[in-house]
Amino acid sequence: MNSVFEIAGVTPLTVENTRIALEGDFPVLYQKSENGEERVGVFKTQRAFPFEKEEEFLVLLSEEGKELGFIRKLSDRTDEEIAILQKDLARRYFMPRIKKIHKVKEQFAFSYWKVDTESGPLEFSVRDTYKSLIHLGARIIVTDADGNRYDIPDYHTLDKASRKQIDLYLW
Amino acid sequence: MRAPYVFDPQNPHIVPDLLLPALSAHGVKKEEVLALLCVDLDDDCLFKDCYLVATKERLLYIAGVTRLCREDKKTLQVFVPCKQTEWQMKDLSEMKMEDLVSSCRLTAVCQNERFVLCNFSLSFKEDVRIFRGYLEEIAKTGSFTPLSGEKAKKKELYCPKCGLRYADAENKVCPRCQKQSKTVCRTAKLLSGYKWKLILIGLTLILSGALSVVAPYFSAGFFYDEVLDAAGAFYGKILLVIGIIVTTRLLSQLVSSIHSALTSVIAADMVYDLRKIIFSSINRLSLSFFTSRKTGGLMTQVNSDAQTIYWFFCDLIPSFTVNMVQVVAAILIMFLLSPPLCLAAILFIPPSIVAIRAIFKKMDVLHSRRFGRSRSLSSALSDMLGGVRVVKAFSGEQKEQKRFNKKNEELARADLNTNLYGAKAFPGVELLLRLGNSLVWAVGGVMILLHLTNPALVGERQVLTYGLLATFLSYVSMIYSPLFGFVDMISQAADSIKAMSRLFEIMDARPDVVERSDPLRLEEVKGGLRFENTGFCYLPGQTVLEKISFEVEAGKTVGIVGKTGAGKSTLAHLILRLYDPTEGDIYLDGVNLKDLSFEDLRKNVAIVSQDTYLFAGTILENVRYARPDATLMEVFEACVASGAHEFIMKLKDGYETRIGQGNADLSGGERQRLSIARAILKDPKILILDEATAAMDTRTEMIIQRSLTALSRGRTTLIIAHRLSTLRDADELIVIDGKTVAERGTPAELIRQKGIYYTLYKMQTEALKTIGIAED
Ligand SMILES: Nc1ncnc2c1ncn2[C@@H]1O[C@H](COP(=O)(O)OP(=O)(O)OP(=O)(O)O)[C@@H](O)[C@H]1O
Ligand SMILES: [Mg+2]
Repeated sequence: MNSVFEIAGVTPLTVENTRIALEGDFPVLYQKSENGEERVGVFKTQRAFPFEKEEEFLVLLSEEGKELGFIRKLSDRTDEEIAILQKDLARRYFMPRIKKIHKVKEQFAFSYWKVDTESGPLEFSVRDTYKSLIHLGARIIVTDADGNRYDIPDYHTLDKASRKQIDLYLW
Repeated sequence: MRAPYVFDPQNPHIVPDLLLPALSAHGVKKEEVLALLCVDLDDDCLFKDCYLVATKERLLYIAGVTRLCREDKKTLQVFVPCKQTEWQMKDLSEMKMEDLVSSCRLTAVCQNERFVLCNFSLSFKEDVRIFRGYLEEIAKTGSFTPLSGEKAKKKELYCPKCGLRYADAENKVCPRCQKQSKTVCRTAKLLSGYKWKLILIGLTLILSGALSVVAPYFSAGFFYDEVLDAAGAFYGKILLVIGIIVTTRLLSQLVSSIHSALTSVIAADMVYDLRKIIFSSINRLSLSFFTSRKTGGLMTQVNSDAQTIYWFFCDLIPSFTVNMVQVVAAILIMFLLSPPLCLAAILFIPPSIVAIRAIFKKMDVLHSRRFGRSRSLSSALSDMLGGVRVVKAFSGEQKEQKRFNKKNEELARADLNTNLYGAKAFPGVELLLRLGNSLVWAVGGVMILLHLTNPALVGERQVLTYGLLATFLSYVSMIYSPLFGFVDMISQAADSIKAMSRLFEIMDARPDVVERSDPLRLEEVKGGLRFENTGFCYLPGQTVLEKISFEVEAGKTVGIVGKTGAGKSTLAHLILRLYDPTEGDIYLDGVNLKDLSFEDLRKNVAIVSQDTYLFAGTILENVRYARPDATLMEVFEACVASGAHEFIMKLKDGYETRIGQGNADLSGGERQRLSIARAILKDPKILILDEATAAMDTRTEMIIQRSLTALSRGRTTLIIAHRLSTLRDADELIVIDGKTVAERGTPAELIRQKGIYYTLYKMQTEALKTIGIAED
């Protein structure tokens, strides 16, 4: 198969040609060939479609940022590997999930948020609130002034008081 | 922010008391601690207090929560550890900070495997970066020297007084603690040239206010009681009194005419001045200011903020004062006329103010939503119109129509809501005020009846006549009508003050790239360039270039090659001082660029950049932008040399053809040729061509290069190019790879080296070979 992936050197990584294992706290990629295995090295996993498809199109990058290849679907890998990758992805894409919004106060250039997240209560400040909210249907991603992101998985499941706090910024 | 312990780069060894029990549990004494850090995320990504404690031998990780605890009537902070790990210092190496999507982690290699030392949110990046440096030193040498001076200063992001965030951490002006009166005074100082005119405006307003307070006195009660009543002092002197009434009316009309004439004169001048001040403040800032902000916001700032500030001084303050004086005066007169009636009249004022405030608050929300939607509609609209080629090419008309309809509908709904609310709420308040009016009628009526039926009951002084009641009622309406205005003014004043503080935010912003106060001037620039260990990053931690060192002799032509995104354009921008290097220095003829005057630098260096920009105007104006005093002959010559002449003469209006804002009427290569003409006209000592001929065919490129060489007269030229044939005349080549200079030498040398350049070269010649053309 002489696909566009081969031409561009973007290799699909399958269970046949690669193996993933844990080394310390980090996953490591091994290349399989007829005469055994070769250690490629520690890698970073990046989602190509971080919001649309969390477990598909996973691109693996070397520590220096060189592309090693991509995994089409997480479910194609072995159970052990899936567990390793899922843990790594969860950490890499961690955003505190907002459960409740106590107060959003707009003052001068910033809005000051007081929220409860699944990771604990939190206060943060957002610069230019309108622009700092990404709308993905009912999901909302908030980016604060330091660049931290927070996730509101479904706007409609927030309680009424919380919704009222951010109502102004939504359309 | 969240941590009870704040990392101090100069004193990283100070242990907070609440941590001591946890430390002694690990057998660590307070004095042993070399450096201490507290971050906010534990390994399960929960917000905890996570300490990293470094001693000479060990690195301790203790995660836990801080609880408040009451003991002996004092509230104590107690740290409850829940997870701990430790490493031997000597095992640790290669500490690295890794950026994740919305957080970071610090990792290290321990016995050949990499482990996570701690996790933290981006807010702690600065702390960890410094701590990492210390840790690395401790692991290697057993001790470290803390940073000192400028480097150890952490950026203060929050106002220490009120905890609000500074809009700009570089110039710490807290928007709240910065007194509003101070902001107003500062603006007033800017406008001090208008002092007398403003005072005059105020005077006319006060006069007209005073006249309007006096007028009802004559026209209502006075007329009934003193003129028409036989007992009155002016009984029968109708003409005289009518005269007085007419005169006051006329006078009041005259004064208000003068007032509006004055305002319209000042308005134009003042808005013009303010716009100039705002624009020049923006203009002097460095490039990074513009790339980090949305230009749309800046545009409104220049346009509408000037209007808002003008309006504050010329309209809001004067009319507020006058209305205030008027209301107070009216209440005073009413009180003198009849205290009980006055009480009845003002009874409804406080509740009305409360109601009006509430309404305006809600209106504010509705308005800002409406504003947001209209902004969203117009940005969508400009997006669609700007991308009309793409829309047509991909037949997206239907989709765009849908997108537009949706936004349009949203805006209409917001409009409707706002108007509906206004239509419902304001009559409500009006009703309240009507009630106040009726109360005055009622109380007044009762008083008159009482007086008629039982004069003894009401003292002689409390006599209320029909006339008095009529006068009274006109004053009542005088205090009710400005009420709406007052509340509205408060919220509008807040807006104006916001505009003023935005102005000062920009005026006080320090450009990143500043000219030295006593810059060096160069008599004659030769054009020698030297980079010395130069490094640069746009964002902290994301190095684009590092350890760049090379020298270009004056008059030489140097080619720069490298992968896309390697940092070639960045390198060029550093020479122009659009940005300053974050590390190392650049020298022009042996003089550090930072010491050189802007004028000398910019006069002698020109760039034809990758993305050309042409202003709306004629071709002539655009080329002349480099040197407005250039003669037509010079412009002509420059365009001939750049090859632009050829296409310009195909246009009907020749050099005076107007080119539109979107440059829609010129091709990519044509635009590039104009940019080159611009640079040639400037005749700089150093010319940088950043992919300046990439959009042209090879033949045109060659001709342009020949004319450039002919014109160069000992000019240093840096050519950035992907197409290696563009660089065939270069004296030397520099290959940028891996953020630094990977190879340098003459083309022949580099080919012999068989490195990166060789691979590139082979690839390009092979591509040519396949179609039967070999380059020699
Ligand atoms: N204003 C900016 N802010 C942040 N990063 C930037 C900015 N400008 C450029 N970069 C990044 O810096 C790196 C170098 O960019 P640069 O434009 O210098 O590359 P280049 O070598 O000129 O590439 P090309 O050959 O495509 O023109 C790129 O990774 C780019 O994404
Ligand atoms: Mg470039």
